[in-house]
Amino acid sequence: MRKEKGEIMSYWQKNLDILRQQAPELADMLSGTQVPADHQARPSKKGPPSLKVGRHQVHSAYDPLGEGLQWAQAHDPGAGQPLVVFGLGLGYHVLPLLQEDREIWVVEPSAAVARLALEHQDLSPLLAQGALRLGRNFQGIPRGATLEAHPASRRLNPALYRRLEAYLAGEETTGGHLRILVVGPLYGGSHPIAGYCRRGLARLGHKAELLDFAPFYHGYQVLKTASRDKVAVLKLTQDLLKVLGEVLMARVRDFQPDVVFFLAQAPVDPPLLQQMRSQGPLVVYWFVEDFQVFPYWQNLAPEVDVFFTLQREPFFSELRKLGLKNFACLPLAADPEVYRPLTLSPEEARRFGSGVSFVGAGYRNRREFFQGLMDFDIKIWGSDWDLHTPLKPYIQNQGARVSEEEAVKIFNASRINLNLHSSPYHPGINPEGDYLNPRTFDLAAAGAFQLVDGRRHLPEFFQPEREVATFGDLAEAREKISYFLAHDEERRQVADQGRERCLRDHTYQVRLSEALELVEEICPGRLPRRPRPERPLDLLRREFPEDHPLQALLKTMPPEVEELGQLVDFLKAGEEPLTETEAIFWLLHEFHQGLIRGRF
Amino acid sequence: MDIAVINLMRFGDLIQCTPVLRRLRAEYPEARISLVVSDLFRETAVLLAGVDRLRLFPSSSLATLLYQEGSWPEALKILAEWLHQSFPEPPDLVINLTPNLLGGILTFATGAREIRGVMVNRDRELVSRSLWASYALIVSRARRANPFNLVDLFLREAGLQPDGRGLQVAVPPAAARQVEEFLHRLHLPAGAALVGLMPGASQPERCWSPPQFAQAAQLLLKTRACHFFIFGSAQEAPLGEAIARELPEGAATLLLGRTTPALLAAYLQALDLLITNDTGPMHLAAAVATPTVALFLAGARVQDTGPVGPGHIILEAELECHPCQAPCPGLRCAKAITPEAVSWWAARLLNQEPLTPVDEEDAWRGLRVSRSGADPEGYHTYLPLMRRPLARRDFWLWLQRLTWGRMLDQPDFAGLDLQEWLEWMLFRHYLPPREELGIMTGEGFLLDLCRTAAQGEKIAGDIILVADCSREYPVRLWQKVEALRGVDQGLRRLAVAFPELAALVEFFFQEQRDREDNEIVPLARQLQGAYAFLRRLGEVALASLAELKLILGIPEGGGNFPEMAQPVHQLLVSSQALLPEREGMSCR
Repeated sequence: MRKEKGEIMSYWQKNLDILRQQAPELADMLSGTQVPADHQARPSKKGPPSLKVGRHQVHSAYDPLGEGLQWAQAHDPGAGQPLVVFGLGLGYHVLPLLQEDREIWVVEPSAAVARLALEHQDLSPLLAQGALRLGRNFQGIPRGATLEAHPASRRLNPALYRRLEAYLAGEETTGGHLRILVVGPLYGGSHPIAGYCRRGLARLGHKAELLDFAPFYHGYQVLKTASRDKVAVLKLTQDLLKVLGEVLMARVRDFQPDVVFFLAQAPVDPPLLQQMRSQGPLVVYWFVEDFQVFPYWQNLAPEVDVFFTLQREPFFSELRKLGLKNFACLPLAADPEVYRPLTLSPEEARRFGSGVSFVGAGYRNRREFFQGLMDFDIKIWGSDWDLHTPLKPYIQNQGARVSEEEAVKIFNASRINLNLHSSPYHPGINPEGDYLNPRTFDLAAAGAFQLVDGRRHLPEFFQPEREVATFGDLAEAREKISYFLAHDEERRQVADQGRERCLRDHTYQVRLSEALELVEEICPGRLPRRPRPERPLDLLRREFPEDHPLQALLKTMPPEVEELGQLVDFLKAGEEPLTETEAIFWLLHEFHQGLIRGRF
Repeated sequence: MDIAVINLMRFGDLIQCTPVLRRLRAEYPEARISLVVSDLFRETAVLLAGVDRLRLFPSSSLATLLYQEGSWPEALKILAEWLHQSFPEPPDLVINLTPNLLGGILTFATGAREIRGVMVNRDRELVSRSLWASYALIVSRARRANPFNLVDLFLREAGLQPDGRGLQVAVPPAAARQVEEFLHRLHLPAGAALVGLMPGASQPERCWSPPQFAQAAQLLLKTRACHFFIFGSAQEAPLGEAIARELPEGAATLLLGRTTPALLAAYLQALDLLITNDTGPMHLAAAVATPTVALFLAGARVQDTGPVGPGHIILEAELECHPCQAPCPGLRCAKAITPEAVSWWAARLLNQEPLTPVDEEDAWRGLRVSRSGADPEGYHTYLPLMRRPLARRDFWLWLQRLTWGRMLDQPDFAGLDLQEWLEWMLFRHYLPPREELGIMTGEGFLLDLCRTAAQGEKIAGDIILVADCSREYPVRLWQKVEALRGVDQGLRRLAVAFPELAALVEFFFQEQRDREDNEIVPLARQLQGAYAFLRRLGEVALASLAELKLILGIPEGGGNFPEMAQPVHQLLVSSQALLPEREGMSCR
């Protein structure tokens, strides 16, 4: 029997009201969640709705109710036993397990699925217990509880399942200690992301190193002017890329990584990727580009072990057409060490501040759209802007490139930060725009207020109008600019909530943890489960007697000090006179430096 | 008394510190002397006499662990334990002969009661304890006119008096017997000279080429019967093989990679002569009293690291660029040393002909030839064997010998003897100068130096006075400190303008690094003393300059060659330092 619209609305409202009492933040998030087009709740043969996500059938299309009951009977651990169910779906398999004397938690990986469940099922008994958890939030779930997985949900989200399993088993992370070589491009938007990735991986406790090709960029540019003969220039460029490939292979031989993690535009070609894979490391490529704008993914995706994208459909279908299964979506994130709230000097506030600002390249859609905002106090920062347009008075520093540090200052100094995603094909807002650009996360991490165009993926990451303000056209943009310029407190609230969300769910540390889970899912068993090495300072504490003067010195070390060089730098920076104990560290470090230099 | 000598350098440097051990034993007969060396050179260290205990710095195990990722805590433990075992109690005296940060930190870590040489202080600065140690540290920055050999600098850093007796190692009897038996089995013809060849060196640019070695050996074979022994490491074997290929069959024995330090010492002792680049085996040969013909190429500078002890011959290129800062691809200095010259001087040593100076001949115009010896103060010297007009670089070198001796060796300095010796040496080994010696510029430099130092001295004195009322007049104090900064900048400019005497300024700044006091008045007093010392150094250099001018007959204020040539000529003749006809020929 098909549920009427009114019935859907009544379930939704009822569930939401209860949820709001138990978990208001979750209620807000689900309120703001937009259900993607490939999530379809349709009536089953027997009437109650069934759910399909992409190509996966989450519940029986014939009798979801009966199927759920059967599953619940088979997986009931018995009275009194705390139970965790992985996967809510539309709740058919969960509802029969709800008993008054049972502690139960349900972990649903997808906000969109949870929203559909709230729309199509009376979940009030579950929600009243405060037992629904979304995504990686396992808060309050007791370790040691019995875990049962709804098969379709587990199939769709194996990495999260393993994470939950590890959590319940008392393990902190699912993976072992890895050696990861991050390889960035010579230049461009993905260059800083490579650095953020390295830091994120290191924060996860892995040994991560960045191979930075940026120093070669100048040489690459010079080659372009080496000859008027285009064939000669091409040949020289190819030769340079070959040398860079050899640099990469030399680094791989030296560092012996478990994973080589490429960012888009890294100087690699299919033969080099093949050669690298043959030498052992697992090769991961993060294509942080729009697949419709940059088609080179077609050559690279088949040659890597894991290919991460920013977009899902129809990109996934295109990848499937190449016969590939090695891909997954990995959205961008922010590095909160770089993008952070700042206290600016009055001079900086004056220089970088304005009512409305935009930082980014002058794509055509932006050039057109911003002409509709010229009556506001607007500053436009970034490169590739045409100075022969009416926007000229608003373009700062003659369209000079904006450094990372400057960008953070602008974000902090501007009352409203516009974020219009680029599009070479559309005037103004791209109506088909899906993935979020880095700026969305950077602005949020910086605690800056942003007004962003409504992208399809946005609700998965930020709750529209609560954590970010959105616009769908010029009129709405103008209206909201006027409104928020006049409402300081609301602006501050949105910015604070956006930052909170970003720090919780969208840092590179979080994202790369997800990435490694996805790698494990796509290439099961390929990542080594090497035990995490003991921290050098802990090892030292263990090796020396408690009354040794070295112990007192170790107590003064800040937690981020890990390596001998860091330790010696820290000691040298101190005001205290050199001690004989400190001299032992320095002596060893100097000996090490001599080994590296080849002379003492 | 517990004395530790730290030398973490390499093979040659270890051999070069043997006079320190000898003089220590003589001056402190009751003391227990420990020698701290890298464990990589244990076999060399056991050859050194006068050592009661060897303390082997665990370089091998530390290096192994440090090359393994994450193993540095284990390395630290080994190092801490080694330090504890080696120095359970702080030594009474540590003499550090390792002129770098590694040696400086280790010296500090011993907690020694007294330190001589280089060390880090509590402010983490690399400082020198004793004036000679400061001089030794600045030599590398102002080496152009350094007259002192490393061996003597080691001694003076250690607070010991040079004795001019060269190096010394004890060849183990077992090694000597083994070599004797080996030589016996070779059945060499009676009267054949045993000549060693050492074609390798620490840096490729310091290597005379194998074909040149081979040609020199061939030429030597034409003058007398010889058998050649070619030494070096296993990695240098191709150099030896390339030489041997060019020699008659059975004329050479290859020993590359086949000698322990003890065996090498025994072989070298058995030789009549070693022809060598500037290497550790060169010093070992000198230490077993085997004469050497040493070839100094590229950056190798004979005054710094030449073979010490009497009777060694050193060949260098007569090039303005030698010794160089960085090697050139053309290796001009290697080409300038011809096989003919090497074999000729080698034959003179083999035939034990007197090493008296000869006049320059066209064939050797591109060469500088020196003979090792010692001056009356016991410092090792290198005197030219080919008489040439006194060159600017030599003039300022001898001036520094006089100046630093006067300043740093008081009250032991026997100035009169040295002065007489200098006079004798300058007439015997040099012809009158032909080129401009830079005397006027040098005098100007020294006067400026004295003036600037006196200015610094005065300002430091003013600071002492102003400091008392600095709370009321902080600006005045600040002005004085700024003025002092200007004085130091002036000194830096002087050093750049006249590099021959840059050592004087560098020495002053090196001494300033060891200031642990943070109070204004004591600091200013120390500074005042340092400027006074610098002024005195300048005055002594001026006095030395006047003496040298007098010796050479250069008129007051005269740096102009034509004006001074005649008096020098007359002096040379009147002192009968040169035979009139030879002198006449040279002056043509």
